[in-house]
Amino acid sequence: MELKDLKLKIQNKDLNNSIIIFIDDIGFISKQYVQAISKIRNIPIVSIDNLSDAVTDNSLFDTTSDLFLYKCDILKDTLPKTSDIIVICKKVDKNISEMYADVIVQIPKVLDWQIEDYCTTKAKGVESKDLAWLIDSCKRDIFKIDNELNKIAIFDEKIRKIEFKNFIKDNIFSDLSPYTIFSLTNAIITKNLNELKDIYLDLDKIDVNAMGLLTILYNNFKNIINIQLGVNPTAESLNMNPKQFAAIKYRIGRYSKNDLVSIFNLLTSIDQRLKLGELPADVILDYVVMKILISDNTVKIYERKY
Amino acid sequence: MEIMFQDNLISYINSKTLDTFPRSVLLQGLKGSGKHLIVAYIAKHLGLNYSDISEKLDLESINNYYLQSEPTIYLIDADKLTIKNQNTILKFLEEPLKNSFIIILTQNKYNILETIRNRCINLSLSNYSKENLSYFIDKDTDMSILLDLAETPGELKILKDLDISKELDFIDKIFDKMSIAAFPNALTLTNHVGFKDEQDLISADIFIKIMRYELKRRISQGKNEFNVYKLTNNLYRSLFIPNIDKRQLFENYLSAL
Repeated sequence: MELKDLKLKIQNKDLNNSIIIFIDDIGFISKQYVQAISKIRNIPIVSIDNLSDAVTDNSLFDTTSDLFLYKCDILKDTLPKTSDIIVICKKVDKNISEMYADVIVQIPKVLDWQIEDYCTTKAKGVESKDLAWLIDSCKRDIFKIDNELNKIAIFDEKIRKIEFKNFIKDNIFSDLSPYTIFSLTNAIITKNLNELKDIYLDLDKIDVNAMGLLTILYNNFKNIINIQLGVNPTAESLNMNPKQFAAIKYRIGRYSKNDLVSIFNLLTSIDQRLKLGELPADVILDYVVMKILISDNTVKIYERKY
Repeated sequence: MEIMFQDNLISYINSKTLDTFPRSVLLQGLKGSGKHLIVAYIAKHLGLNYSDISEKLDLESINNYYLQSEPTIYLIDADKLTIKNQNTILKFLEEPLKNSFIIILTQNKYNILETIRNRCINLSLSNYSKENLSYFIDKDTDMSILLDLAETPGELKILKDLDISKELDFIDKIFDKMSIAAFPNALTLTNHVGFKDEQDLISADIFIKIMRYELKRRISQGKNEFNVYKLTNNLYRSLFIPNIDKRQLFENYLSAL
């Protein structure tokens, strides 16, 4: 089924039989359609984890039904014989795709102009340059953008322009960062200076506690030591998740023994230095990051790039 | 109840009555020196009960202590407290309880905020000589190593229950093989030691003390391990920093070796 045909059916309220399978990488657009269908048919949405949970109650006294919503990566199973189920997936298995060919709707990728269009529609009244800033801050993640726009959409159109500027001033959008503390620790461990530079620019928007960062780095470097300096280490012998083991072994890059010992010595000295007053708490983050980055190899990379 | 070798302190306590005993006391003594025994002695002398409130220092609990009518000795182990907790005690000391007493225990009074020290009468347990400590063990026990290692009767008791020769052999192996051991293997040494009073492991304080003792012996036999001894000594002194993470301290020491 083409998306425009579905849209027409919804607009004409001509949608009695709601078995629809959306193929949508992100899920944002299909979510809008699910909400629209629920609204025109006046039935509630019920999210289910298993297809077997899509049971319609046909008791004598209750004639209402639910709109079941099932999300998965790949749809492999046939759908239960219920009239109201919508699936959002990334792919339909070829064994069943022919069976449901009439009800599969391929959602196109969200294009940049569509995101801008969506923002302009939802937040009418806000200046376009402010919306452009928001789109950029959210790294064009439509879910994040929608979430932030909900904060301004509650205001009357006439005052949205000023309120949006007040939001920025009052740091209401302060959680707008694609980075987390783990992004920071990964960038430090892989000595990715470009990524680190971007994260540092966003640092006041990320919830980074210096001691929390130290704990994560300490645990990570202990794992790196066990794997890169250990004799025949395996995920089992180190009681580690195999994926984590492989990531540390193959994707972090090689540290020299001296580097690892020196970094570990640094990380295990911070607690004592803090408690003796040798190191002020407010400089720990920068101090640790710089000390870890300073090694022969890293200095050469830095000189080449900058 | 007989308390040995603390005559000055006992005389001071005996000279006081319920009316003249200080409302706030800071009692200093090493681990195992008998601080809790002294508190029990004070309680018996004054005819009072005592209650350890080290883990009940929130505002609500403190307000309740003011409402208690029965006179009590409130005991606080200050070595477990953060600076924030110490500030809470300060409030407690500034508005003393009408008919109760506060005794704060510490291994080192200089780890306690000066404002708390200044509001308390400072008392200390005397150090124990080897001769004093020999009183606490059977004459037929091999005393020499125990008396070299222990500083207090409490420590002596712990050491008596240990297989000291086994620990000394283990420590010898560590120092013999440290230079060739893989770093991950060296770090597994932390599994042998208890950092938070674990029941089935030797305590970090005792283990590091034995390491220091054994290093001195090795150096006296001609081994060139002065730098290792210096590191071990620093490690031992750092154990007394309040609220220090002993595991990380030990790992830091191993990485420096």
